[in-house]
Amino acid sequence: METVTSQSYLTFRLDDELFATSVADVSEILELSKITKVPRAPHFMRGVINLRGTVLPVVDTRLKFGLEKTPDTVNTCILVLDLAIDGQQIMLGAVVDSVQEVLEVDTASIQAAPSIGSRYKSGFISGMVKHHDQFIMLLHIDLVFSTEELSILQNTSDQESISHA
Amino acid sequence: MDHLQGIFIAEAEELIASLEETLLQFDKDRTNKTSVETIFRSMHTLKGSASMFGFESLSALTHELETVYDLIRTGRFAATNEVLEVTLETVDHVKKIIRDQGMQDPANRARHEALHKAIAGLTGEQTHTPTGMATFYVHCKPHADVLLKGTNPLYLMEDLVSLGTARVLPHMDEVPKLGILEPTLCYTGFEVFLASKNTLAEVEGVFIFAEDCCEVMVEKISDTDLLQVPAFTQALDIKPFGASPFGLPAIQHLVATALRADTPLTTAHTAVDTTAPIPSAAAKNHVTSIRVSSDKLDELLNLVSELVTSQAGLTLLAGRHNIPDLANLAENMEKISRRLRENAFSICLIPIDTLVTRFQRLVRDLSKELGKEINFSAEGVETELDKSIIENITDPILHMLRNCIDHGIESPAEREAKGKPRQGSIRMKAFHSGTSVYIQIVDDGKGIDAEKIRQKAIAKGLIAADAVLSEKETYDLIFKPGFSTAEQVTDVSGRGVGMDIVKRNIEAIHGEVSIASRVQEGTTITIRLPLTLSIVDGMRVRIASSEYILPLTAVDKCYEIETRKLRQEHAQKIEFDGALLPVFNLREVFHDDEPKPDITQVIKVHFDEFPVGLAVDAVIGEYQAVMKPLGSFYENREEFSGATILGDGSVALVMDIHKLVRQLIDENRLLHQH
Repeated sequence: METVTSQSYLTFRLDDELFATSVADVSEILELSKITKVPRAPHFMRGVINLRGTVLPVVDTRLKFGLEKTPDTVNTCILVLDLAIDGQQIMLGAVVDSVQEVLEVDTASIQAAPSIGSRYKSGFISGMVKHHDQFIMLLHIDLVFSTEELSILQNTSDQESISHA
Repeated sequence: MDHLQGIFIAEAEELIASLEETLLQFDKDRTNKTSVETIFRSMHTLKGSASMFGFESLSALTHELETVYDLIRTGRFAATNEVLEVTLETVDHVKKIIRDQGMQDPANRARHEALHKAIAGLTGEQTHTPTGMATFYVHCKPHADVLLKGTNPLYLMEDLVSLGTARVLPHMDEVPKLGILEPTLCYTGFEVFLASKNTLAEVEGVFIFAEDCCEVMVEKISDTDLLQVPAFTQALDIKPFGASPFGLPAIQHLVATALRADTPLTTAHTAVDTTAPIPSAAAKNHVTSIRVSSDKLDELLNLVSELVTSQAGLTLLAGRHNIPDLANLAENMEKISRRLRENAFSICLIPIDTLVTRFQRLVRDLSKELGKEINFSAEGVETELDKSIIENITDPILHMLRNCIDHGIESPAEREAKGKPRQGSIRMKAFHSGTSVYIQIVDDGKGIDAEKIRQKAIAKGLIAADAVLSEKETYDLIFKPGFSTAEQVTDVSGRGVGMDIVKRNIEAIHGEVSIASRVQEGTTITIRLPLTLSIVDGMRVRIASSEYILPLTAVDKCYEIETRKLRQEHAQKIEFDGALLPVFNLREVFHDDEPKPDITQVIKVHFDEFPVGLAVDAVIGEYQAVMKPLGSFYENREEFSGATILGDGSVALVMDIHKLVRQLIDENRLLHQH
């Protein structure tokens, strides 16, 4: 008999796409509060907020994912992530359009991330899962936020070279 | 066990620090009995706990030194330079091996051996009755068949004698006549009087493999070296060869009478025991303190900071609702939290005293090395600073002291030729002023020639040949990168770390450093430091929709100006009080898409003595900002030294004015137009 292992993922929405990150990385979900802008910082850094006395940096996930800036809605919220980046435990907030649900994903059902035709650099996607007829991209969330690169979007030249290959 | 060893290391390091301090005191005043007592006691404690926690090598070494100091304190040995030198070397060595217990580092092992020899060499010639010595009585009667079992009693005797000095009395009374003597049997017994530093157990250890073939008795008969007592040795001498053994009771009787006869030694001993001054130790014990890990303190400070922030929120709330009870409560809370904050911050303050030993040590060692005579004194050492500042200020001060000794103070001959006292002086003064602590290093050396600095700066292209500089500006050139006054690079101060690094390190903890000097009279270096890094006295300002804190220390004056008079540029010059002030429009620099107010505030701040204006939307008031780090995501934003949480729970960024203005100048190259 085959043993079924499953993992919990938190799904969230950016534009029309669904993404998921392991629940182990998410320490809490906050409503959007006043974010203090840090001038002259990279555009995807929204600023800082007060998380019970600690100053928490907040990243605009839309901008990091190469989507354009949209006005915040009532559903916009901040995922507080507790990530190990370069051996250091770092807390940061990630602004997402909305949080969907916690999903139990059967590890056997995870499909490999497509290397062709995806908008995102494949290194940041650990796999894909089909749920209610929609594909959810499972993220290497620590890589997404530790990268020096301004966005995790595929360069168009890269995409061309892939499609020509 | 690891945990216990950790405790031991922490305690030992403290002990070593105080030991070093006392040693340096003793170096200055060799007649000071209390110092010797303190040194002796520290070593004794160190030795004791070292062996208790399994630091055997450390324990052995300190034991030997302790012996030397025991001799010194009882007046039987003089504290020579050599002794102090070896002691200080040992202290340094102990500092190292305390973290390298097994002496994995070959350098440590080599030094360990060398120090053993050096310490032994100290006492080797002069001491006849080193204490720590004891006399043991060993009676060994090998069984007749001992030789058949492969044991040679003579080897045992040799081992025994190697432990110290000994007198061995063989007993031939059982040896039969030659005709009936069986050559394979042993008839001889031994009585050994051994004077040794070893313990009873160690002496007994010699016989550990011979227990089943010898009758052995080991007794400690005295805590002194009886072999040095004539009355005792004479009694042994008169015993005829081949007589029967003394036996323990006879020996004990002999010891008692011998010691009574040798009165001078015994009185000397009792005198020492009674005169050992305990009061100093007792006085010290009155200061009760507990050891708390700095993590716990940091946690406490974080909590207090949070409380202060919540309290600000409460005050805000009370102001909004007109409820008398709430207002009272808020006011009370404010008083209590302010006191709590002051209290908590004072816990983290450490007196500068803790640094002085290291400085004294450096001055002592370096002046010896360079053949200079320097008297180092420290004033105001009780002045307190935040522990994190103390940690960060040590290296810069050490570096400046090195410079001072190497370049500032002249050689004794040179000083005499100039009519100065042979001994140069370096004074360190620490004092409070306002919210700052000042540390001054004052020497009476040859001083720094401002003209030489100027020429050098011109030669190095740091300033233009016709630049007009004030005296202070000239001396500040020393702190510019790429400037070094040392004409020849010595291995002492010319090791590539310039004064610019010193300045940068001090600025990193929000301090300032400046130099004043008179040729042939000396140099004064002044360091200004904030009392604490965790709270900044700031001015709260608003730019567009965000609030910022400017450290009050940098703020000079505020002007109001109609916004339409400002050009929409990052930098421009505006006339205030009859002088043109370069003004940076922070709204343009930080935000560009918000509606502008009619009136703009221009805050005049100091940047390296030259005034700069910063245009902001509004000045809100004063604010005591509890500093929070911005975290690694913003580590490149150097113009903000951190953030603070305002009463309403929102975050305000704290500007580092120096770095901000430097960046703006670099961006606009305004300095050239200036």
